[in-house]
Amino acid sequence: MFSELFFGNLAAFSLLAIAPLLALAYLRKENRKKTIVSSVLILRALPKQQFRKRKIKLPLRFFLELLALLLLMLAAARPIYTSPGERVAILVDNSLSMGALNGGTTSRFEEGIKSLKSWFNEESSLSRYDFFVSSPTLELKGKSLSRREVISELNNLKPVYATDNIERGIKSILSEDDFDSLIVVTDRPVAISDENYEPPIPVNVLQVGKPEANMFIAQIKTEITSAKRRTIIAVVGNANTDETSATVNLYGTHFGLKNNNIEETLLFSKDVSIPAQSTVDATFALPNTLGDLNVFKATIETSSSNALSADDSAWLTFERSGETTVLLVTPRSSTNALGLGDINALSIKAISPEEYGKLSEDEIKDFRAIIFDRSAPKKLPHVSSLLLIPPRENGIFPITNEIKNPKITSWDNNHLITSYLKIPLLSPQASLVFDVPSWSQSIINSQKGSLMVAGESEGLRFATTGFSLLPFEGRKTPVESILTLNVLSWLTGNKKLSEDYLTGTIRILENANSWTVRLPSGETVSLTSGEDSLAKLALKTPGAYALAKGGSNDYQLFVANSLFPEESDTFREYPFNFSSFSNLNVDNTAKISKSSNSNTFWQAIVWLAILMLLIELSLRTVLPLLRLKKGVS
Amino acid sequence: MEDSFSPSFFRQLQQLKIRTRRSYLGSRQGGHQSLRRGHGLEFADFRPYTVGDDYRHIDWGVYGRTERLFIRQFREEQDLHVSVIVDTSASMGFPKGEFNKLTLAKELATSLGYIALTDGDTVTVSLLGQKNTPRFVGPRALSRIRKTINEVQCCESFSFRDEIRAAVSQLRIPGKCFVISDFLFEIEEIVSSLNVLRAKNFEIVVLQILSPEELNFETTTDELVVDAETGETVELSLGRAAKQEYARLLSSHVKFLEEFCFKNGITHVLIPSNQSVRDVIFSRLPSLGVLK
Repeated sequence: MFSELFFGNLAAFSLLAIAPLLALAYLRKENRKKTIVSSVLILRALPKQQFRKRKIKLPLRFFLELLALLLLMLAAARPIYTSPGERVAILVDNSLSMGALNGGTTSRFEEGIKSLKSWFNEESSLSRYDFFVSSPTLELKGKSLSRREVISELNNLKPVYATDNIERGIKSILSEDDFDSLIVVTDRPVAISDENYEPPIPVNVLQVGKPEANMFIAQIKTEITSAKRRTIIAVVGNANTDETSATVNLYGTHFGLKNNNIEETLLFSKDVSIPAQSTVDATFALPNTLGDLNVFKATIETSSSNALSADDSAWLTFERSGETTVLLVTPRSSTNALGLGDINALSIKAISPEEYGKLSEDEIKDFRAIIFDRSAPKKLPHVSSLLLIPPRENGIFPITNEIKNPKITSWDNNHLITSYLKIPLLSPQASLVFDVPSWSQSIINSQKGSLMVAGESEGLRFATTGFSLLPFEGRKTPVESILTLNVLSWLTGNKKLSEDYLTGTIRILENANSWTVRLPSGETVSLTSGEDSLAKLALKTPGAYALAKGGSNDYQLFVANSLFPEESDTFREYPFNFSSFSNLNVDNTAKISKSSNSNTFWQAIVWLAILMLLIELSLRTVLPLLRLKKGVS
Repeated sequence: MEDSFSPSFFRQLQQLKIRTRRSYLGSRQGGHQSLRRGHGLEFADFRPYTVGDDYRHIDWGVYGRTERLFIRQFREEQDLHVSVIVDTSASMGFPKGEFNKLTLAKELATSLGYIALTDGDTVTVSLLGQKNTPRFVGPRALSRIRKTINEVQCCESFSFRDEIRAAVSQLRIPGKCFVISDFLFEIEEIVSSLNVLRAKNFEIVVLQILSPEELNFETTTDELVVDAETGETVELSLGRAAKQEYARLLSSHVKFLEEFCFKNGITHVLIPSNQSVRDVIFSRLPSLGVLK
């Protein structure tokens, strides 16, 4: 197997045309010995055939100049020496932030694709590529593709409404051990905090994008005021170094399964001024009568720099009845009920353990579920409950041990709590280990015992985790968040319990053979589930969705939003850290590099050409001086 | 040139005399039989006595035979007008250094001028291309003639024929004419130049000086030769055959001049520039009857 040498810029070989011109210039030069004679009277009378064929004599300087020219031509042709048959993984960050415009002209994504195409010019044509995208989850778009095929895939690619998951993507690819190198195109810089870490294969990062000012909707939520008035709050963010003003508009529409008219009506407009790197709430008080409006959209308009427009809108819909009320008992000071306040269709009340002790049975029964955070009731309440890191002396779930960095060994993947979760992605730093009561079962196990137990007793459901799930951080900790929502859904029986759906997620549609979905565009599609698989709805675009089983007219309305503050904050860099991959346990000497121009040696060729020219220059200047000195002596 | 002209050399030169085959009118009394009838030693002719003639010259023998009075006429010895024409074109400046043609030409011109002056002849030196035709008379002119000729340097190219014409126009009285040149120009020009002199009734001696390199042309391969006078360039890469052909062409050129001179009563002497002036003056020219 031999390595391949090829050239990145074949057009440079056209410089070869200069070589004959150089030779001609030397030949035309009167560099032959010139002799002045008294008279050429006789010489010119000699017949022409008497002259021998003139020997073409070119001086050494000509060959040095020619060699320098050839070397410069070779350097300009950019020779690249590479091993053939490399299997290269390409991971393209197609997250929301890649759609941000650089200087208002091209997007980071377009720049990234351009960089990648340039990088291709220096790669062996024999390499094969597995092409991945990072968002919404790591997805293999093509396996063992040629360069041309990858470029074709690139041309069809666009950023999506999702976060990047770059670290997970890289970790997953590196763990496959199938590739010779990895190239990552992203707008996130590399931050290597662990100097001793060396990835198993060379990792090239093509980082694109620079800080750009952006305005975005960070969150949209609804609240009921003390005056029993429904308000919609759009939290507007300003990723900029200057205070910026914007107009926040609130629209309303009726979005149903089949209605033709889904036009939006402007309800309110509000001008806001947002300090730099900060957020401001734009609160809209809805009228008591909303007619048939069931979906609300907040948008921002600004004349200031706004690199990303995909995050300038957010949707909201709310159940006007049947909200689930949950009691949170926690000794911790709770802002927004330790994040639980963000969960839609959940009305949360947070109290201290002491205050809980003062509640009556009837007051407790008003709640659909109770969450005991680092606390426990003295006796089993008559309400389904979740105990998070209960004290040892809790009388419900006995604690046997406490471990640090527990390794999850198994889990009950048939339980609703763990459904559609990648449990191995849970990595608690520490956990209590429980003894499993007979009326319950272990949900998540470690090498030392059960980390999560759940069970049902007398119609009530109880669950406990030895590791913390609060504060609820939503999309920042998706596995923990979904586990929390699953537990709450299981405890309360409220399948409509959810936070805002985020674009990029997939809703698993259960217990029906077919579903009808109306997408935000107004298009209606049908989804069917197979024998062994459930129907899945990918929430690709933000907006309202209407979901109904089969041909039923009874539909569920929900919204999906592309609210990713880390993606929207295009002014800040969010470096991704390679040191978090240290648990791959591989031993090698590959290095992470930030540019991919390896295996080219044009610089050495240029230095060689300069050396030739220096030698030629010295011959031109030093030799005549030496001859003169010799003549004088 | 100073080295050749030692006192002994000058003394030897004084022994020499320029020979002429013809008699010429001189401008004053000298050592050469002239065409003028007058006082002299050599009987020339009789003429009838006219009143006023010197009766001592009456030839009584003729009277006895013819009973008529005749006066005896003698050839008058007058000076000879010697013209020395020196070619000072750029070609004469070769080779540089040793065996330079102009150096030898100047030595020959000085020697001939010295011989003529010491013999009481009148010398006119024509330096072709220099626009200077000084005339020298008498022994006192020896140092001047030497100085004048010594100062001559090669000049730019000129038309040999035109210069000869200009020089000849300055020479009122014909006599002996030495033309010192390499004659490396077109045959037609040589012929027309010498014919100008012939037309003026000069007794011409052609001293053709060629350098050893011209006589045996040697060149390295791949030379570009440049004519010193015209600047004409010829590319050279000569083989053996070409060198032989060169020798043939040169010989042909010289031979043509020889034959022309012979046909027209001109003495032609081919002198290699590596020959010393002593050899030429004391050996070759006397052997050719140019000097005695």
